[in-house]
Amino acid sequence: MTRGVLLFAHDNDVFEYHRLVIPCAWFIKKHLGVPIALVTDTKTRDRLLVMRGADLIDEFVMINHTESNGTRRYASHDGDTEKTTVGQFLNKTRIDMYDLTPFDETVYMDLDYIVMNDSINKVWGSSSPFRINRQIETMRKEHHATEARLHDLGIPMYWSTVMYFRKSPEAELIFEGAKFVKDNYSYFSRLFRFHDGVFRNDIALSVVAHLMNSGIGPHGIDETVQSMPEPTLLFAWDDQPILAIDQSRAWFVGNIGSESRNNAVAYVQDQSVHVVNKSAFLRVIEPWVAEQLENADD
Amino acid sequence: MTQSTTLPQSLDEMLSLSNARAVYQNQLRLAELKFKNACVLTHNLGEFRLDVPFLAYLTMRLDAGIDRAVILDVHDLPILVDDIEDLLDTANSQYHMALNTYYEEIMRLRSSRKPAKMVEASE
Repeated sequence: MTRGVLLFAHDNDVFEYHRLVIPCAWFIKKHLGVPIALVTDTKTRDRLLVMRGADLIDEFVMINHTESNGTRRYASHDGDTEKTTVGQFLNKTRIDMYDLTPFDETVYMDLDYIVMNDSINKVWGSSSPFRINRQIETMRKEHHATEARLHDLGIPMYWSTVMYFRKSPEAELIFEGAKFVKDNYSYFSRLFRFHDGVFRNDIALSVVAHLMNSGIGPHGIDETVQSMPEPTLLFAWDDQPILAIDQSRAWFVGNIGSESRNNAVAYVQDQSVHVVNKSAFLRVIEPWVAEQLENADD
Repeated sequence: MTQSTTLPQSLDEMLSLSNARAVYQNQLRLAELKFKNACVLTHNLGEFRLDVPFLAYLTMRLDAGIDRAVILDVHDLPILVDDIEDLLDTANSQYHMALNTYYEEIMRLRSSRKPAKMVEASE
């Protein structure tokens, strides 16, 4: 069975997603050593191909139409909420990843997920056809936004930051189900009590995971949906920008506020992190990876 | 009205602002998270939490001459383990590797007084 990591990148009018591809791919190659396929459009690919490190991508899956899903905000690199920019949110094609992936076993990953260990390699050959995480933690325990449920009294939230699926009837059914949720988003938002503003893949997959687990809670009779090898995802939110990085270590703003006794830098080693603040990602990670590629060429 | 806050842009700047106790407590939490994340083992369709009781149970079954058994996983689902010895080898190795790493991390934190040393940043 073929196996690899699937990434998606579509530049919009504000943010150059292609700049996240090579740093993300570098860490995947470094720690996982598996093939990488990138789903992208012509414009994004052409911008990527002129960059050093583009050969880290083993295969391009071309789609030339991306459906806009409204707008989203991009925080500035220092997390200043008054300096955000707004761009088109092009995320609707991810739900087609089952059909788009060239691999029999696929790990999908967000571009801003930095792999810092090889734990993901434990998924290959998994008995479970679909694996996705439910638990997240942030750089600082007191930090807001560890959404556990779609609604305070509702079903668990699953995070599509990094997922595994194997070409199988069950996984196909999961993605067909997610498409069904997407096509009937307003209805499901009323059924499961979530906000139906912008479509989120997390929410669609959360609904389907709940149903696949027999619909009787997170520990249903048939636990079809398992977590990834590391069941808790680590998030660095917009106001926890990355400060420095090397191949297996990273430093972040853990917490900072009016009370200095709470200020703390956060440090992780051999722990993969979802770096939400993309501006800081480009300021810190992109040049560091570029330097590694340059040194490798010398 | 939300007040605009400019966050530190460099590690040095963040270190100069960091409170040692806050850093210490947060790093303890992150080390524990890393350890717990490393102590999960999936087998067939089951998820097992690697801890002393689990390892002891597998060892006990093996000592009793049983090399194949149904074991409840973290979700209380019955999972068939075809080769207990193999699972025990994997579980032991993974658990003790994670535990050693956790121990080294805690010892390093306890011997550090300044935030820079706690987060292994050069001053």
